[in-house]
Amino acid sequence: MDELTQQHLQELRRGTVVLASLLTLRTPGYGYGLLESLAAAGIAVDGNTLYPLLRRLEKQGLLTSEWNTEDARPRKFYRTSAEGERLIDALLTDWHEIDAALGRLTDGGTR
Amino acid sequence: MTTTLTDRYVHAATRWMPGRVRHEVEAELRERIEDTVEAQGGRPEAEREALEILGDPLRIGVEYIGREPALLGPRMFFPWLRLTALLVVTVAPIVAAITMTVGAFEGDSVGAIIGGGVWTLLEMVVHLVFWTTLVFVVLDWTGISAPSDADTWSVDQLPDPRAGTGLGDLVAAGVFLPFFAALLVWQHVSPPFVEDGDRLAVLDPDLWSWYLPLVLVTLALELAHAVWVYRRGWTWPAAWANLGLTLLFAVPTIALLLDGSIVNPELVAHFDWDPAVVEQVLRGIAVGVGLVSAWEAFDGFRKAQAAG
Repeated sequence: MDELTQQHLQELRRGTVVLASLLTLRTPGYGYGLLESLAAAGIAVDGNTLYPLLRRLEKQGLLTSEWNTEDARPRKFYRTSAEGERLIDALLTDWHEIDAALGRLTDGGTR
Repeated sequence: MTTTLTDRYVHAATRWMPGRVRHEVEAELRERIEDTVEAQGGRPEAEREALEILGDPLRIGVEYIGREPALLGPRMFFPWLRLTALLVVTVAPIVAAITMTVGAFEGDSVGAIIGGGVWTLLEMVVHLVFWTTLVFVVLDWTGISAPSDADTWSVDQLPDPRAGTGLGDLVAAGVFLPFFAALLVWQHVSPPFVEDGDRLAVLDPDLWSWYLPLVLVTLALELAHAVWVYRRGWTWPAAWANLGLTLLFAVPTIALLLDGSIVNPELVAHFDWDPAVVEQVLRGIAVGVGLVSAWEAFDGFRKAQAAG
């Protein structure tokens, strides 16, 4: 895949990492675990993107966090908040609308 | 206590952040690095590899909190601090010494020589700080120097968190404080000025009734304080104690300097100094003591804040 295509794909996917993270973190999880679940689900994301993103989402109140100190090493567990759920709804609705619109554009040309 | 590469990396990434945020980011970064290393099977080289992949700690730190420190970016701050400190402690005293030597050769009065030296010193400090800061700010804002060391950064560049966190201060205190105490005693016991076979102390001998013993006690306490800070770091109690010690020295010293009763009057008479000039010089020194003391006290709280 050429560089130009890759760049555009990256742009297209940027917002979906937020949505995928919020969806995954309905079950509490920590940074590296989320990185692996997202990769397994086919959403490749870099640690340099994901870790700062989690902090940002927490600051925006979309995630809540808690340090789990029961394991050998302390880990910060994130969970999607009520506000995060509202954002999920909004983003998913928009996602489906865009999908439908793109479908119309590819099938019928103009409408 | 051993310092691992991770410790040094986390320190390098977060050392410029304010206390509470720094602790958060430290913990998160540590979790991230350790998870990454573990995923690599925990091989001995895995830690180094994980850090190399993470890259320049300053950039990582900036990514975490999403902003850079104000006037100077984090990349510029430490080089700026190092250079400014170096210039202030080397160039300023040298230039002041030269001014005083030239004054002495030209046969100026002692008051004028000392006054000129102090004035030059203060002037040099102001200039050095201002101009180096200006140069760094221009470099930072224009991005000229923004080095491409995102590519060339390597783990070996990590600073050691234990370096400069106190050992330097302790050594300085261990050398300076006893030296200053010895100087106080020496100027009284065997001063270089002799009149009619009597030695003339520089400081008024009457001050041995309270002021000079107080200063010696304060110096001893300062030394104990330096050891305490070295072992425990800058805690809030240490900062308050520092404030107390600073006041203990500064308040009587400044009062005596302004009052003009610190210099041995017989010495003034011996050299036939102009009392007005002596008064001016002492006033200048009082201002200097005040400024340094204010900084000392503030610096303690600043360090306690930084240590969280």
